[in-house]
Amino acid sequence: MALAAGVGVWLTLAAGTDASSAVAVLSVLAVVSTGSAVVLGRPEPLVGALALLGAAYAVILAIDEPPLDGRSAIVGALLLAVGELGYLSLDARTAVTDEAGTLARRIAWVMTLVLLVLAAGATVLVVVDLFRIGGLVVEGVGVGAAATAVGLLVLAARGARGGDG
Amino acid sequence: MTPYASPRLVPYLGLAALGLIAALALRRPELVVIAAPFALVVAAGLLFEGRPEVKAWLTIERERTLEGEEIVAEIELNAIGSVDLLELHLVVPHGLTVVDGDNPSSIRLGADEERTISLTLRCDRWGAVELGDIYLRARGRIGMLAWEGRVRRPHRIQIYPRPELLQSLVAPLDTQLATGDLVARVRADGLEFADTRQFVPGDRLRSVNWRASARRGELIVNERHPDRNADVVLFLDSFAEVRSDDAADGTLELAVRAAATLAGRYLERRDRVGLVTFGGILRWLEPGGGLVQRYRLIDALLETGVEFSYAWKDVNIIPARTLPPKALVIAVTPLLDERSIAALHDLRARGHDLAIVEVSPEELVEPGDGLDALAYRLWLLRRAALRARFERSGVAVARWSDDLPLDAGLEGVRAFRRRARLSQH
Repeated sequence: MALAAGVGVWLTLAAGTDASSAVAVLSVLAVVSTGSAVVLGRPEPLVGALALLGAAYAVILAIDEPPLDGRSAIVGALLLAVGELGYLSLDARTAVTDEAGTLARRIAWVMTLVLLVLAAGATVLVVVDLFRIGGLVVEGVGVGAAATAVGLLVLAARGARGGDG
Repeated sequence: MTPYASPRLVPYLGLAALGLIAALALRRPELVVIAAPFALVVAAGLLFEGRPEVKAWLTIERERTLEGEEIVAEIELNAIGSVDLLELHLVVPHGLTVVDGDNPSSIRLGADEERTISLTLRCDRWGAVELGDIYLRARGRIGMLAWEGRVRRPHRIQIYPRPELLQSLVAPLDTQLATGDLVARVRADGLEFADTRQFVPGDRLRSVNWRASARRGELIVNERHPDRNADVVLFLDSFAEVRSDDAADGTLELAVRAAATLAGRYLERRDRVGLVTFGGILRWLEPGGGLVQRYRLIDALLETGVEFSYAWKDVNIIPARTLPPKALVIAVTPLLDERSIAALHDLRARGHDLAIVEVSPEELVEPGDGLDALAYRLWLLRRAALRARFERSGVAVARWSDDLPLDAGLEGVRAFRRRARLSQH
């Protein structure tokens, strides 16, 4: 819940004046929905909370129209963290007695996953940015890919001629 | 093991789809970036986490135990690949309670690791129970799929009734021909002095009472009572029982415990003991002696339960060999069902030596208020009249409940029979 509230506050503060009220409403609804999931012990409100936080970010993109927003990798990682921790807290309510250290191990895995996702998201953003900007870098990548394909064809041809001969 | 989708799988796919659609609609690649993690987690979970190979075995410390004792059950687990989270649940049947150890519990199993989970079970109630169903659920680290399976390692545990404290038994009116610990009323070779009489040809010189012979001036011999055994038939009423929410045991548990105690004590003094379980299901065991008969009786008692039935039953359906003519019939009954009450009257009318140990249900019933209290008093009066009717026909009825030792209950029977014998003389 704290993480969801933190993401909601951050998005509200990051939103421009036109989008801030809508983002605030969506964030509040998301936090309430997360709280409902915790209180009721049901996963459905948690999914709704994730959708609402994602929608809040979409509102910022739609209204404020920033250029390629590097925060999206962080938002994606945080949303995944909210989801994973939410389901973890629901799992912990079962009658099954966990071995000592299980909860800590699972939280550590969630953190690792979030970092991996953050890195992957950042990489995707760099790639997208490269394609949007274009220029020598992109042309260089294209030339390199073509050269690699030609080289593979030459190697395959040599291998075939060596077999015949 | 059968795979089941985690509760996260469909929602994560939905969120990913929603994000991708929104990205296309708004033409913003950032929405792909926030939707992609959910899709990636699902893909990784489905691709990299395969079916786990988990094996489980169950060992029980011992398969015969007494009511109230504790036994240890050990679940041994082995997995070929590692399992990040393995949940296991041993199905504990009615009659057993886990007193130490967690059930269900979860552990982590490394590749080729063997773990043993110990559970201490307390045997709360007599009976024959089967223990051995183990439910397993395995998940990988990502946990998009859960693999569930059931392992059956059946063990039959026989929980014998806890013996009640009993110092003396009800003595039968007649004995049988075989040697036992009872002093017979007839006169023959034995240890117990009976009387003296004149010597007749054929008497052994060993039996001559020289002192009496010197006094009388003629040969006088001693007569003795032989040691004989008796036939005892335990008549267990299983038509109905009463149990309350507060008390751990109902009338049937007490009755079986009393019957098991009586059977053991009579067998110890070399009497032959038989059993009739008179209820929805009729069971009988012909009188016999020895250790084998003891185990047969206990096994038959462990199977006792209240089986609901409308059918009218009487003693005619009991084979004659099960109720020998001179046998002492001890009925252990709560005196609730008309069929068992009628059967007992029938037994008495046929001349059987009958004694009743009433497992009192009165302490297990709440009197209530108003009309309920009046009904309760009427019920008590009816039961008192029923007991009086039995006593008028010469049947001793003794009330016994869990807060009294069984000896106290049987003392009522013994006292009634002593008074009855004295009044006959």
